[in-house]
Amino acid sequence: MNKCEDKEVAFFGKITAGITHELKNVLAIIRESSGLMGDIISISPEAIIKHQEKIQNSIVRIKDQIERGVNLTDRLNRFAHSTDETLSKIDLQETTEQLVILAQRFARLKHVVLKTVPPDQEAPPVTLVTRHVQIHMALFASLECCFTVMSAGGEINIGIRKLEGKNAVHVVCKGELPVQTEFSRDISESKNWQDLQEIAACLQGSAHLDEIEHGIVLSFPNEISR
Amino acid sequence: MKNLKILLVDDEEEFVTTLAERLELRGLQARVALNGEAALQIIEADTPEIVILDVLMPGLGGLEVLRWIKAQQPQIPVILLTGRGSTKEGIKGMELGAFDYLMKPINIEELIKKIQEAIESQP
Amino acid sequence: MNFKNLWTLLSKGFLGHSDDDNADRYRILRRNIFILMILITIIPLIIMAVIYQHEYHSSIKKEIVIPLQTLTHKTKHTFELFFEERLSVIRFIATSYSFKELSDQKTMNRIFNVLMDEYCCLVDLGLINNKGIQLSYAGPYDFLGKDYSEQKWFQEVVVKGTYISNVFMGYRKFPHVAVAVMKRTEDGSALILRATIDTSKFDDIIASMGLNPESDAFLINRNGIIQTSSRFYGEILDHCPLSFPRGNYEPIVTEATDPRGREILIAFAPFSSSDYALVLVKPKSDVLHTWHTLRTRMFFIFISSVALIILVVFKLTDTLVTRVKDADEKRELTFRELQHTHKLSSIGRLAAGVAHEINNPMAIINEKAGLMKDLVAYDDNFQNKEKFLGLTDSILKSVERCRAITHRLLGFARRMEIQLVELDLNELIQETLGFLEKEALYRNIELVLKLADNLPRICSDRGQVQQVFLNIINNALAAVEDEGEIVITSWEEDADTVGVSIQDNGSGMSEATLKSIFDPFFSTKQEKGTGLGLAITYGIVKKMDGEIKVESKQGEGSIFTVYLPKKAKIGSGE
Repeated sequence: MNKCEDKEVAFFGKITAGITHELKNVLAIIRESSGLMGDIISISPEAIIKHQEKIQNSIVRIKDQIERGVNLTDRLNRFAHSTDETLSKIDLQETTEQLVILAQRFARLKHVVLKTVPPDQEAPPVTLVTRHVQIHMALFASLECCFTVMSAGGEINIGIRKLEGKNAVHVVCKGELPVQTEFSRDISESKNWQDLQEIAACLQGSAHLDEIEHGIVLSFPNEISR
Repeated sequence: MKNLKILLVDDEEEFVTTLAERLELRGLQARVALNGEAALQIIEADTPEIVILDVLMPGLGGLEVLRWIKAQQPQIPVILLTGRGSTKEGIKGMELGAFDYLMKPINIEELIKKIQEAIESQP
Repeated sequence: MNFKNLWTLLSKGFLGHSDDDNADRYRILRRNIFILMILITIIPLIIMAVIYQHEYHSSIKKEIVIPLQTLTHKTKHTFELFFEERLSVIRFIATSYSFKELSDQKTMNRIFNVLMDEYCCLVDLGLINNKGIQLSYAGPYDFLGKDYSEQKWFQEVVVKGTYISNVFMGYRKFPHVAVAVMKRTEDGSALILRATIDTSKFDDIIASMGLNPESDAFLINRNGIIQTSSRFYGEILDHCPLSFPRGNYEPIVTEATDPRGREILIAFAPFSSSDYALVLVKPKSDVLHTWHTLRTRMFFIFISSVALIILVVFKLTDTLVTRVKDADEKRELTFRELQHTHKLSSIGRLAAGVAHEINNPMAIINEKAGLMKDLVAYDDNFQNKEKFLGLTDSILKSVERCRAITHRLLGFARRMEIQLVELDLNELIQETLGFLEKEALYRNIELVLKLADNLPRICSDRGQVQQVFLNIINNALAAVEDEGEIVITSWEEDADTVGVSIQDNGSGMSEATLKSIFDPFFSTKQEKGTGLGLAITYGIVKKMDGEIKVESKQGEGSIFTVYLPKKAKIGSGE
């Protein structure tokens, strides 16, 4: 379906750009730390001894950033591979956790914290045969819906639940929120909600407003047909 | 473990020479080869006790060198270094007889531990 | 071969070129198929109808004509028999009785009475001598002693021996006919026996033909004077207005128009032994009534057949073309979907490649920083100031390397929408190579760039153009052996076009492979590859109104050449 394809590339670009920005930040820190060390060392051997601690801290910082950088490239790599096939078998929990990591940066910019609800240990993993990129897009779009109505300092919990045989993802908003009705209205009138509906349609699933909690319930079929 | 003769093979010069320096600081004898051919020459001329080998190299690739070593000097344990997306090469290397593999960027403590294990596993 | 080319040309022109983007294509196709099928079905139908009509017409005509001829012939024969019968009776009497007996009035009366009983229509009977004098007479008229020597009939019967007269108006104005025979006596003199017959029998004979009220039959003489009553063409002794052929003895049938304006068939049968001819007139409409019914029926069938054909052909063509259109659209859709998947996955692969690439410099930074840590741990005095500076420098260099990579990735990620921009192809090629350089480096493949200076910018979608080059260069890398060479050249081809060629010295392709190289799902890589790369590349180039060509020699290498218009047309979709 053309509609489904339309936004995929843009989404990919968006996420990739996000990761890349973070990488640039990593590199910037490394550069600064290294620059600082260089400055200190250039002054004199005595200065080195005087500012030993600073040098050591710089080194630690560099190491930390490398670890962070490696994590980022891992994420990028994994996300890049979600485009390998149109339809693939995915682990919903894994994908949700992945997406949450990818979206952290965007959440941070909105001063919202993202958390995943740990899966039910007893329950078997939820696997779907579906469009990997679009699942990412659906989760991301739900987050964006929440961002529009949440204020700074809020938190979003994302958890998987099997609901009457359907695979559901609950995106629950916490924090300072308007009343349920107002909350629902604001979300359903937003552009992000329209986008989310389109994406859910492509996935042959649905996106509803949660009646009990402030949140969105996404549900997906076990397998989608072409 | 002191003065253990190690051969490091990697085409990334900055990386491999720095790593060699760090290993030397820890009391190991580290030599460096920047490509497969040089590595083979050094192994023949001055046999190391263990080889740390990067899989992705231009010219004679890491796995080729591994095959050669296992054919000519099978007693030398080999530890592979792979990129984070190339675990396939690591597994293939294990099948070809490598002791283990590590993903770059490496943790030097981990590397030293692996070297110890490899040496101890020798009969 | 010529016919094959001609056929291809015709069918292409007729059924449309598959490369046509024209929305009207289906309308034209529908129209063309419709017309072709209509012509193919209706023209033979028309030809057949015309031929049948013609054949049937002539055959029907024959079937009308022959019975007419036969009837006329038979009736003529009846008439002739009638005359012959009368003549033979008279001849018999002339032969059986002597001159003396016949000249006796009483004997004549007696013979006459017997004859009247036996044969109908006898009016009188008389004997005439060779000088033309009536010697004896039995009948209603007073002809005894009449002198016929000057009369034509007398002269004729003396010479010819028999005579049959035309009809004349006689006793009580009824029509009569006279017959006479001549007999020579022993002494050489002639005696003539003459009888008058009324023509009521003629009417009976004609009535026995069983004609319908629209038809007419009558006798005429050689001059066209009507001898028996005609329904439509005049009274007895009138001149018949119809024209007749002369000199035939077999009955013939002709067509004419009568004075009343009717189309008629005339059967004309001249008598052999007398001056008469039998005429039978049948109106054509009557005769050809069956033909006309048939013709009307045929016409009706023809019209309804044509209507049915048109309806069926129309429906069929419609269904057919709709199916073709649906299939085309489905194929187009599927192709676009595949194209999208391919694009997305190639983007994905690029991103993954970048992630991979960044690792090395990060590993370097890691080691350098690690070494610094070690040095700080092992040596409190910081003797080696230069060393440390060297290390921090290395770190900075690696950071730069990472930055270049991430910069490239960011640029790529940002430009993932379709938009027409001014492209510097040389720069685009180099950016694309940036993603693939590492692989070339690892395999010692030499990349030679012969990019034209001041290559004019083109207006196109960056993403798509990049994908084209990415695909082709990737293929070249796959085709070429380690230590091989890839040469990329760019030039201005003409005022509207720029050209880029990618040449490799790899294994090359066979003729057979070359032919199918742009076919979807055609792949020479055994397990890897979907076989779609070049098909999609081809599709993109064509959509942009460009050209893509490939030349190859097995064992020597291949060269892919892409021509792009300076002003691109916006392709639909991705």
